[in-house]
Amino acid sequence: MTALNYGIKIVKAGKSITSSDLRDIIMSSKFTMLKQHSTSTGSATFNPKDTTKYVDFTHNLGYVPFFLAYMSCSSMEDGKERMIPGYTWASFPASGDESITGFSNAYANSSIVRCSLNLTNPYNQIKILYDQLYWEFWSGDAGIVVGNAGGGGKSTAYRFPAVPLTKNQSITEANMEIKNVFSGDGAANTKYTVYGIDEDNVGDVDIDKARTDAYDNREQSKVSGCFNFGTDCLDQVREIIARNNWASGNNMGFIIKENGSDSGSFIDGFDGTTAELTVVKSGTMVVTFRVIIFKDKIL
Amino acid sequence: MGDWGAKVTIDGKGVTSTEPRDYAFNSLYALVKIFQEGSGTVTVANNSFATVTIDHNLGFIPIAIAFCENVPSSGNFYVGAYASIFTDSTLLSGLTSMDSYVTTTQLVLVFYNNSGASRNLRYNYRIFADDGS
Repeated sequence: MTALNYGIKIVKAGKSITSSDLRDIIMSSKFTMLKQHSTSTGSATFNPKDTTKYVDFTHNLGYVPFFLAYMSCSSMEDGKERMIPGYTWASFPASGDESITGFSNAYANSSIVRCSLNLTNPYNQIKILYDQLYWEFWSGDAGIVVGNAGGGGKSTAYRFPAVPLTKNQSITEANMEIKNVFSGDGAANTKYTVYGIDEDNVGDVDIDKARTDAYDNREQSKVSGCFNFGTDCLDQVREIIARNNWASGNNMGFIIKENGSDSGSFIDGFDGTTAELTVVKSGTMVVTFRVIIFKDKIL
Repeated sequence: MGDWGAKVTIDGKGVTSTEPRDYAFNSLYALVKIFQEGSGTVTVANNSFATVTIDHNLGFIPIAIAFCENVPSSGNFYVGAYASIFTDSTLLSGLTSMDSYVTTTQLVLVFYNNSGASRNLRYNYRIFADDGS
């Protein structure tokens, strides 16, 4: 018995059912079509310093289904849904026009579809490397970060360029880390005070510039070998960005002032010494994923 | 010329609806037809690329989509490429990714493995008899 070529074919208006161009066909029983199983949305919240969030969508199909996924973020790119996978960037006008970048991915297995967004930098955290350092020399070209190497205390000043904080922006953390330093010979702690430089947009830095009212007295214990040390400067940063003429993109400066260290107690620097300012801003971002799951099987 | 055609609505919706989403089928709208589908496994040496070429010969650049199990035996099939600039813990021991492109005759899948060892990667694809125009 010969099988007959039964079926249904519907073509676009003005096209022939004998057309060899498959795009002319609206529907044909020769071709299967994707059959929708569900459409779901789910959200996750990025808090400051978060880098990764994901949402799982349960499908209960018992096999790996065909799916499509999209994502959008609150407060950015209103009205847009980006296809997943993707490389995502966006700007936050309220935060100094800085951009964020991230990578979105999605996979399905026999029980869930997982959508994720990985940011390349922690959310709402900015890091700025210093671009200018003023320090007092001990002997030759050996610079002292802070302390008393003998013959009186030494201090330093640092400038951080183009700080992307708006005037009076809400921040929750600020920390300055001095990297690649050594302890002096003395066993006692090195005592120092951290000030901000009380200027709107710092030019060349030195240790005699006007200081913020906010300051912190700190001590650093002796450490063997090369080390980094960090110091909180939240109040100083808040005071600087509250200045009348502070604007996003201005330079910000700090002074680490010697504060009565014993002779021989100091923190020594060299050419490889650097400084980094880290600030954490307030606010959250909600990422919303949308997943269309089909009954068609991948595996 | 009359307003001829065929349409089937989903449960609870009227055939007079002007909302496309109310229709299971409507000859007013083109449907995306699966022209070709398939799957396979490709062995990708560490720090290497491997290419899988699938002929379709449609004569136009079709809609296509592919999935890849980036981590062997994980059962997790990523849609499209795995996007990253860094090694992600979800990929266990390293980065494996898939890129793809379509021509008028072929779907090409390009796999990359930087996991530290050879990997057998499973993939699955759909090619549609439509170009989205």
